[in-house]
Amino acid sequence: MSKKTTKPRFVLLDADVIIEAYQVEVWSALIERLEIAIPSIVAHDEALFYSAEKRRIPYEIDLLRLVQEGKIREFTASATEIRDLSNKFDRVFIEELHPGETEALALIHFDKASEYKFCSGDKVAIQGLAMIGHSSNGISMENFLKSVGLIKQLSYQFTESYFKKWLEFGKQRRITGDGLN
Amino acid sequence: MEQFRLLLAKRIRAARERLGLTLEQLAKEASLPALQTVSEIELGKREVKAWELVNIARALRVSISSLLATEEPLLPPIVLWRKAPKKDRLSLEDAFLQRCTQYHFLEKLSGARKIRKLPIIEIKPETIDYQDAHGLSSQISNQLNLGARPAKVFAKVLEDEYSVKIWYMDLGEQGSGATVVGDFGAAILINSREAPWRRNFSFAHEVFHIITWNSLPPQQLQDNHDLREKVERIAEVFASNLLLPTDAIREAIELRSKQDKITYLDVVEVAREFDVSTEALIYRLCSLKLIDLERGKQVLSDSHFRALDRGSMPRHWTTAPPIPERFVRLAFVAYKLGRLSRSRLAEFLNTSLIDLPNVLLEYGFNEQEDYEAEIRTT
Repeated sequence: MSKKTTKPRFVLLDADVIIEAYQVEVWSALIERLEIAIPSIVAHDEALFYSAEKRRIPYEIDLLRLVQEGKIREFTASATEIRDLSNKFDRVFIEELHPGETEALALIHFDKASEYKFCSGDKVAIQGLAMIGHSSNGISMENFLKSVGLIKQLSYQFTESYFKKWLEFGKQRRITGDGLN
Repeated sequence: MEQFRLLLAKRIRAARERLGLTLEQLAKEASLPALQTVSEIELGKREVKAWELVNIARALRVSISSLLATEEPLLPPIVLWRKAPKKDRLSLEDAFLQRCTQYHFLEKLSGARKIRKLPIIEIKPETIDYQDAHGLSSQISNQLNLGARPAKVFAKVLEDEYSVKIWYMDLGEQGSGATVVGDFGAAILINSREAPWRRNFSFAHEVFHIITWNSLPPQQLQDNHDLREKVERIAEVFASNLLLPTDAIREAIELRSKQDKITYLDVVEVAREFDVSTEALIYRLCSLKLIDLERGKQVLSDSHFRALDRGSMPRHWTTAPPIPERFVRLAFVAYKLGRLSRSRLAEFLNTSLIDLPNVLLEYGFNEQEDYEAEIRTT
């Protein structure tokens, strides 16, 4: 019996997932098969996607272009929402996150991307999602690729087992209050 | 919410004015669509979007948390410059302080412990003299166990054993070193354009300011020009004595001198051996009375000597690292411990997610390696 996977149509992606999708050559297929959204900070932070070898951002993951062409969506949190979300965590934990990840968590928490599942391969971001009580709003890259029929060998951090491991860790921290205000 | 918007507006305006940027310059630096956007943000008429907040913070060289903080952030510590750059001084200071804060943050995340503390020397500003410089250099050399060729190990000892944060930035033609002591500990800024031997001298000079920070605080030195001049000269003597220990330098010269003479080439080689400039070496030889001061000056202005000096430089030249090796190490450890997100790691290392694996490899770290294997110690 095959394992049942959830089938999200809407995915809010962290930057590292975009890079992995690009490197394992599923990015183009993904933006055709799914409703992809990205936090505004990820869309505008060109430094995250610059390739020294190519001396530019690779054309395929030029996110602002993709947003302008309507191929992916950009969601924006406000500075107030960033502050309110930041205040949920202690000062050390919030500094461990990239601002793009903080914005993704704010978008989820303040219901600005309610239909979307947040996908990250980053243990800090995954923990953060669970720490604010939104474990059910997350999905591993492996899982959502399967849901649209894309099977690829991924780096360990993008697998379901990795995602679950850090989600569980984040849930424990939510209970103990570690990293939270 | 309205109150917070106004507070944020006020902080952005204050940070922009502090750097002397116009609305237009900030709009450009922060990639905002128009001058009007900045104007509306500063008047509190418009909610700041998350990406705008990030870009504005970067352009103003302030942290996002300081813009969002509930309480007013504390005033930053004073940066003591040896010779401040003519351009972008404040902006460089802010970048330096931001790096110091990040460095300290990584020390905490990675569990790095400050093993030793540099001594804090109590001296009286009015009576300090060159004799103090001699005594202090011996004390520091012994305490830090710097050996007979101190410059070879000095920076590494300061960083690894005393948690002194050393950062390199392009400070232009004019800029020299700077020191600061803050909540993050002691930190030194070095002009990355300087030759390696000049950088070594700068470390030593700045260490003098660190160990006398309490007795000769930066505010006092900034306000009292004469004292400042005097202290700078003493710091130079301290650096010279520290990097060129009397016994070691005498021995190196004696080994090479024949019939009380030493060749130009040998002088250059001794300078390279001790990792100091030929100027520093010759003035030290003069102060030890191994050569006459006037003769020393003549040698330094002799084109033949200069040519020999220049000719030896390429073999010994090392480039200042864009990011200190220890900073990278701490960031990588924090990342592997799950205490730093990968995107944040890339941000700290000034690189992209695409190039991150290669940048880490350049520093000897491989993300795919298992770093958790352990060995029992006895």
